[in-house]
Amino acid sequence: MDSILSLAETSGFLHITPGLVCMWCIGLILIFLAIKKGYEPLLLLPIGFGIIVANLPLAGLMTPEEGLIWRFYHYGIQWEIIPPLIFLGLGALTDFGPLLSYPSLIFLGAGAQVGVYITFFTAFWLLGFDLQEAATIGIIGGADGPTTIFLASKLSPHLLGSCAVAAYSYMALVPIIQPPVMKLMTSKNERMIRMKKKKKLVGSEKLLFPIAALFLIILLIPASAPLISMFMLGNLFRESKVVERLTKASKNELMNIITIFLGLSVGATMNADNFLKKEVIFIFAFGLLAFMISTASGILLAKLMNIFLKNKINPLLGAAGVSAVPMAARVVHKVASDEDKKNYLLMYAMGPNVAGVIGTVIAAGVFLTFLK
Amino acid sequence: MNKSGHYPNILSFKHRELQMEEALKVFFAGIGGVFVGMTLLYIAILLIIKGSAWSKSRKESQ
Repeated sequence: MDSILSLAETSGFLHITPGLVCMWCIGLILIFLAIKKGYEPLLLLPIGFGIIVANLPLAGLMTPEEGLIWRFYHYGIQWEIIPPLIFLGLGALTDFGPLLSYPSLIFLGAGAQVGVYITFFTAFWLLGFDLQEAATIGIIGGADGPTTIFLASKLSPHLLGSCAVAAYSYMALVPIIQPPVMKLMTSKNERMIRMKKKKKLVGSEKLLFPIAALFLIILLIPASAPLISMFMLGNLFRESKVVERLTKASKNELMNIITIFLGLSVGATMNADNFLKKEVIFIFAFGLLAFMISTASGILLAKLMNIFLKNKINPLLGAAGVSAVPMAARVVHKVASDEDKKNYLLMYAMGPNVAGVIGTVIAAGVFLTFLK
Repeated sequence: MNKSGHYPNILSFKHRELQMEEALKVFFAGIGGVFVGMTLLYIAILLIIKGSAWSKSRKESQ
């Protein structure tokens, strides 16, 4: 009888709390959204699973120095390994051709970052988050998961899980969040503007760009080096066309393996104690606000550019300046083609979309420079 | 709300004021930094395009 009682005491059943059950439900909801609705399944599925296993009583998977997932988290995220490796894969997947063919669109990638800073300031000023927390919330507006995780792990590790889930959820919801903002900010005539034909590239531009960008960005914002260096290395693999195996490994095998560890680790940081708080609701609300302001600020910058440009650009392209690649570019194309079926904006929108990735990394680098 | 989960009280008002200055600094440096970075990249792209076109025309003329 004693042995049965002691077995019962060491089992997890007696340690189940309402908070843990609530976290299991959140994990199951994310898994449901990933499987049934297809919302960012590559990340939300392992994140949901990570939440569940990290909140199983006495399992100890996130026990410091001992737990299995704690080791993934510690060596992968705290040691800054996983986010830069994700950027290596992203670099290998990125084609800078559309940006190089229409260089002025690069500014739209900067315009969308204004939302990041407005949200940062608002979260600090209105809600009383400290500067590091406000920066982590603001960067959600960049719609870039790995950058959000990278910044959160350095500035506010206690917000990592909620900010990462907010960032990936809003990236999945781009087709729902962006169109109303885009329609509100533009007239029908503006949405129907057709772009002038792009410049043709002669050959070596795509090879030279990652090298030039590497020097310029890291010299300007040294704190962005881990992400930008890996991003440009991946892109150099791709454009050099002499290391096909490395390109494939970066964008396929390595990216897939890293994604498993990233999702699990991020999910496992969300325990009942640090997630079931009022401030998490603010994080989700302000993350959404950041994303909407980023969309609007990109469009406003495109309109401002039109005052000075001889060949007008379609202001919807400004919405692609957030870095949800390629979803934001697809949404821009869809909204434009709803007005004019022959208006093909997809390849033009890819320009500000990849510029947005660079812009978000620079924005994160500035936060790190001042706040770390 | 601070890291320990408490709202700042009136005693921390001065500290908050200093943080406000810091926040404004980060705000303007951030927006400025992103636009300066993009302007540098824009100039680099224009130079790369010009250089590539010049190199191609030189090869063709040879």
